[in-house]
Amino acid sequence: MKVLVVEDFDLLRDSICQGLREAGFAVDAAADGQTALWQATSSHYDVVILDLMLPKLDGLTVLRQLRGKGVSTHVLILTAKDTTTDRITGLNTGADDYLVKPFDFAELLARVRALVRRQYQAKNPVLSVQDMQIDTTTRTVRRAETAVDLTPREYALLEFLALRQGQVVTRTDIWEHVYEFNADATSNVVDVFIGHLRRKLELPGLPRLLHTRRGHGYVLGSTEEGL
Amino acid sequence: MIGSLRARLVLGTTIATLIVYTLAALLLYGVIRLSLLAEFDRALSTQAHALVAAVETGDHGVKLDVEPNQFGPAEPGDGFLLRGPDGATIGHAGSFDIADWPALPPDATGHEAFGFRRLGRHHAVRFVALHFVPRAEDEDHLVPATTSPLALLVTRNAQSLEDKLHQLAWLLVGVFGVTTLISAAIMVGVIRHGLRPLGVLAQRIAGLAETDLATRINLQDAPREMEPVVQRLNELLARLEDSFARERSFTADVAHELRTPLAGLTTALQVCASQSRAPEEYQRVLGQCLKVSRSMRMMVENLLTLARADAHQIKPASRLIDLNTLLPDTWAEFAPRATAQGLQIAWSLGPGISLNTDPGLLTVVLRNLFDNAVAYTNDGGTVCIETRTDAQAVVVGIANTGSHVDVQDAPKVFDRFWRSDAARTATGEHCGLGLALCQRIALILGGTIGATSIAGGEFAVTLRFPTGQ
Repeated sequence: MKVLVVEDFDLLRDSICQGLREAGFAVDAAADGQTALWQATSSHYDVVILDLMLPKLDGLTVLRQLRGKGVSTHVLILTAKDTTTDRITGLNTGADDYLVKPFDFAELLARVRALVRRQYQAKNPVLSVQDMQIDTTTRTVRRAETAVDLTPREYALLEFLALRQGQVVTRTDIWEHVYEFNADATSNVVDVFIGHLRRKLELPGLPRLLHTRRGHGYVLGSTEEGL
Repeated sequence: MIGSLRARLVLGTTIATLIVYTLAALLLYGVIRLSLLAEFDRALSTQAHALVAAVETGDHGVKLDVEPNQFGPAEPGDGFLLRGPDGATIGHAGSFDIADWPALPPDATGHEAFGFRRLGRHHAVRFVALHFVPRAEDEDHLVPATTSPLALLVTRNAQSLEDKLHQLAWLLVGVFGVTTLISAAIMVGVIRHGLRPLGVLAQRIAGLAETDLATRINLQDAPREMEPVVQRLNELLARLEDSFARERSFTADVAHELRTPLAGLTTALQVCASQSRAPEEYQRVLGQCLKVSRSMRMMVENLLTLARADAHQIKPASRLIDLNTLLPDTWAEFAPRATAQGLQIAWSLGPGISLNTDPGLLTVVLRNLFDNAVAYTNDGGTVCIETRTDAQAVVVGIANTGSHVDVQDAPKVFDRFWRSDAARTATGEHCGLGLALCQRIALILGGTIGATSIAGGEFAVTLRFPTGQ
């Protein structure tokens, strides 16, 4: 899952980025409105965390222009403005959620996860793929009652695939959503992580969950064998 | 205590009506009574003169020549009494008790004295008393036998007159009483109607909510007498609205400026504490947090000082200060940071410049100016610090290269929470209060502060303290 953090206060921006990365998100950051607008239109994010009082271009203008350009990314406004009028204005301008500073990081994380779930119309925080359960709140994976131990990157990849289970997901999709904008990852890295993930998910005596579609990408939990 | 305007008006007009009506009633009663009495007295007088004409005096004394029933009593109290000079009764008629009647006053002859007497409980009696010299019996006797005057008292029942006057009095009381009540009722109505615009106005004013200060009272709604009041009220509302708006934006700014670094601290600490890390990682985060908390403390102190200055709670002291010592002493705190950024410091201190001022407050100004200079000068740039005197003032100038402020924005730097966009990224470190505070303190110290700027070039702040004072 990929998140854009727009915040002009260095300490806060860096901390949010670090916290989100440690929670398994791919994170890009912007310190002013212009950069944020450019990044949000040129790359696909699952969630944008947007401050309102920003240099160069204020947050509401960024949001208005994003919506005007048809960008439907979920936007969470994170601001010190706390009046009801401010909240209403924010939501009416096209925000999906509104959180007032100062906040609990755990709450921000929960809200970002909720926005991600909403993105894929999955209201249940526990995703099921055949005999596998993925708890997106505790970020634990069980297959056939056996706990599967994953690194944050592997987990992020699995969650991304699970939210699109049964669909073919291309390498580019994975690369864009799971890895950061300025990370030096190539699509080969995707193959490597898919390999790691497959090894951990395959258990003796159980059917395969992660399938490769040559020339297309990958499918999690497909039932149409032999395609 | 003014009380209700309506009650005052009703009471006032009613009392005035009552006084006017009472006077009119009294006057009317008096006139009618006088004319009735005059008529009655004329009849009494005529009767007395008829009696006088019937008295003759001759050689054999005084003789009363009347028909027995000519002056006989028709009603209780009717009658007459004639006395000689010696007080002996010469003749009388009627049933009244002579002893009840006083001796006739020894009045000049011919003068008639009228008066009332009560006879028992049910009868009023009108009397006339007079002295006269009786005419001689024989016209041949030119010299009257008796020259001493006689006294005559004629009385007549006046109960019907009394009754008439009583009736008149009650009639007047009744008529004017009812008229007063009716006019009071009309007054209540008229006054209520007349004062209704005042009530409407009061309702409008009562309807003003503190949350909606944009409302104004329409001048058309107010009577002309109230227009000045309404105008003042509207002006007051406008000023209130303005100051509330400023207050709101100030509070919002303060909230933002405090909340953002606070959110930064909380998040940094929460993220850091979420898992175990290398000692260097903890040190890095704690160092960042410490830096933020230090600038938050500076901001809180600036806010407090501003609030006190606004509330006129700051009383500046006055001591002779050597600026050429105070400036380098204050700068010492910032020198390490300046060195770390590779800044050049150009000192230009005029010889022996001293100033009568409050050293504590001046230090606050200098610290803010130095802090800004170090924070905003481009790396490797120059900070110029100078003191000088000119004809009117002691001047302190602090300038730095690498200005972030456009020429036209230079005067705005003294607005609270104003920051150039470039400076905004430093949220939490410089919140745009420092220069506002400097301006406030400079005023308290009797000086002025000004700024000039060329974007990318020099940003200069000049403090001037007039020497005249």
